[in-house]
Amino acid sequence: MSAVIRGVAECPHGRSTEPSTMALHETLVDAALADAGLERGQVDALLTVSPRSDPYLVHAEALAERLGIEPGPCHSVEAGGTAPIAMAAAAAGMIDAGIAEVAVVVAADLPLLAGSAGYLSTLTQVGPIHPEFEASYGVTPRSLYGLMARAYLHHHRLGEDALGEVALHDRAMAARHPHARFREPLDMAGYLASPLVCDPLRRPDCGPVTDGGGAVVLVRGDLPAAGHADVALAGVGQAMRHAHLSQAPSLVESAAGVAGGRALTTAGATIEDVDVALVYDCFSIAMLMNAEALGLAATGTAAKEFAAGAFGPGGRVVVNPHGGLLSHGYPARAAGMANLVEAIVQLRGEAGERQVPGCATALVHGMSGAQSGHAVAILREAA
Amino acid sequence: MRPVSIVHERPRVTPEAEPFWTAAAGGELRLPSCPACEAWLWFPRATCPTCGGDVEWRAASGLATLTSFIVERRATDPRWRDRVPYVIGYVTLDEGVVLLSDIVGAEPGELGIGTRLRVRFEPTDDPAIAVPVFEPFDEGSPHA
Repeated sequence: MSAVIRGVAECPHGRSTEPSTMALHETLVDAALADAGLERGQVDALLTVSPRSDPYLVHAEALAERLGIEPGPCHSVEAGGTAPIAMAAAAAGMIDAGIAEVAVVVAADLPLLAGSAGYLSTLTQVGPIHPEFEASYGVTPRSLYGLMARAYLHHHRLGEDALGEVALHDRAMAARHPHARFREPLDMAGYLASPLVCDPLRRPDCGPVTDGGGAVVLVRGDLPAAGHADVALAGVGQAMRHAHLSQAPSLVESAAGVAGGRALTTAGATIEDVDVALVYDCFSIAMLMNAEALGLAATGTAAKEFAAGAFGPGGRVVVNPHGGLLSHGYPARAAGMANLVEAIVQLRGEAGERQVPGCATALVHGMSGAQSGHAVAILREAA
Repeated sequence: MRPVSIVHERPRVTPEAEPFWTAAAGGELRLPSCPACEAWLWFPRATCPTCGGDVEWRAASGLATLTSFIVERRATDPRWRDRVPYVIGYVTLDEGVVLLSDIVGAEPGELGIGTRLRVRFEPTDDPAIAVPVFEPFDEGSPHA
C-alpha cells in the first residue's frame, strides 16, 4: 500500500509569537498530526531542515527528543528550497519500502529572533558563493539573482516592469491568505516608486525574511482514514545543474523544466493538466525563469502572461494562490514549505476564498541556491 | 568616479590555488588550463574536470566583456554597508571562462552588458594577497 499525504499544518508568516524555534516545530508537528488523526507516539520517521535559528546540525534528533518520540529514520536534510519536496519524496519512499508507516516532514525557522540582517549575513557565508574566489567581493545570494535579472531583461528586451508584474501578482494573491506576510495592495506605480536595493532588483522583487514554517504527515495509505481526502504524490522529479552561477551554461535559463519533465512523466501527466502551480520565487526573476522553464509560459513571455491575468483566478493555470515567497514570505530555511502546504490545501478544497475551483492536479516546485537544484512534485487527490 | 581604495577581506586561500594567488600578488591573472583538452578553467584547481590530467598555469590576457552587473545600494551585510553603492558583475574573459568580480573605475550609468574590461588587482587586509577586479577601458588605447 503506497504512501499518501494525510496531515498538513502551517503557521502565520511574519513575526512569530512562539517563544523558541523548537516550540514552533512542536506546534506545527502537533497540528499536522491532529489533522491526520494521529498522535506523537505513532510517528516512526521524522524529517526536518536544520533551522538557522537553532545550532543543531542534526536538528531532527533534537526535535525528536523535544517531542518525546523515538522514531526510526530521524534525518535533517540539506537541500535548500528543494528540501520540502525532497523530504516528502524520501518519506514516501520509506513508507513504500516498509521502513516507516507514519512520517512527519517539518520545516520551520525564526530568523527574526536573531534579526534578518544576521540571517542574511550567514546566507552569504553558506550560500552558493565560492569561499575562495567570490566571497571577498561583497556578493550575496540576492546579488546573484540581480545578475540573472539584468541578463534576462537584456536578453528578452524587457523593461523593469516585467519584474514588477510578478511582485504585483504575488501581492494580489497574498491578500486572500490569512498567513501571508504582505497583504496590502501594490500597484505598478507603487512598485516603480519602491527603492532599488540591488539594481535592477527593487525591494518588492525580494522575498521578505519572515518567521514561519509548515508540516506534512505522510502515512501508509491503508491506515484508518482521517475524515478528509488524502493527497497522493503522483510524481517527483529533481535536477541539479551547478552550484555557482558562474558555472551555469547561461544566466537566463532554468533547469526547473528538467525536474518538471521527470515529475510529469512519472505522474503520467502534461503541464496542461496542472490546475495550480506553486512556483519557487525567492526573487521575482526566479519566477519568470522558472515559470518559462516549467512550460507555464513561452520563453520571454511570463511577465506578459502575468500582466494579462493568465496566472490569476480564472486564468489558464493559477500560479501561487498563496502569494508566493515574495508576499507569503521567505521563512529562511523553511522557504518552499508553503508551496507544498498550499498544494495540499487546494487539492483538499480547503483554501477558502482563494480556492481554485475543481483543483485536481497541483504542481509544486522548489529551488536551491542560485538556480542550482530544482525539485518538482505532482500532487493529486488520492484514489 | 567611484573610489577604488577598497580593502577586501582576505579570501580563504587554499594550497591548491597557490599559483593563482602568487601571480595575483604580482599583478598577473594566471589561470589553470588543460593542455590535453585545450580549455581554460575556472575556478582554479589542480586537475582538469574533463580528463583528470594535471593543469598548466598560464597567464590570461586580463581582457574581458561585461556579461551582467548589479549595483548594490543597500548592503544586507554590515561589513559592506559603507561601500554602497558598489558594482558586482559577471565578466567573460577573452579566454572564455566567466568570473564574478568587482567592477571599478566607472559610474554604474557608464556600464552596460558588452562593456569591455581589463583586470587590475586590489589589496586585501593581508598584504601578501591581492584580488582581481575589472575596470572599463578604451579598446583603442594601449592597455599594457
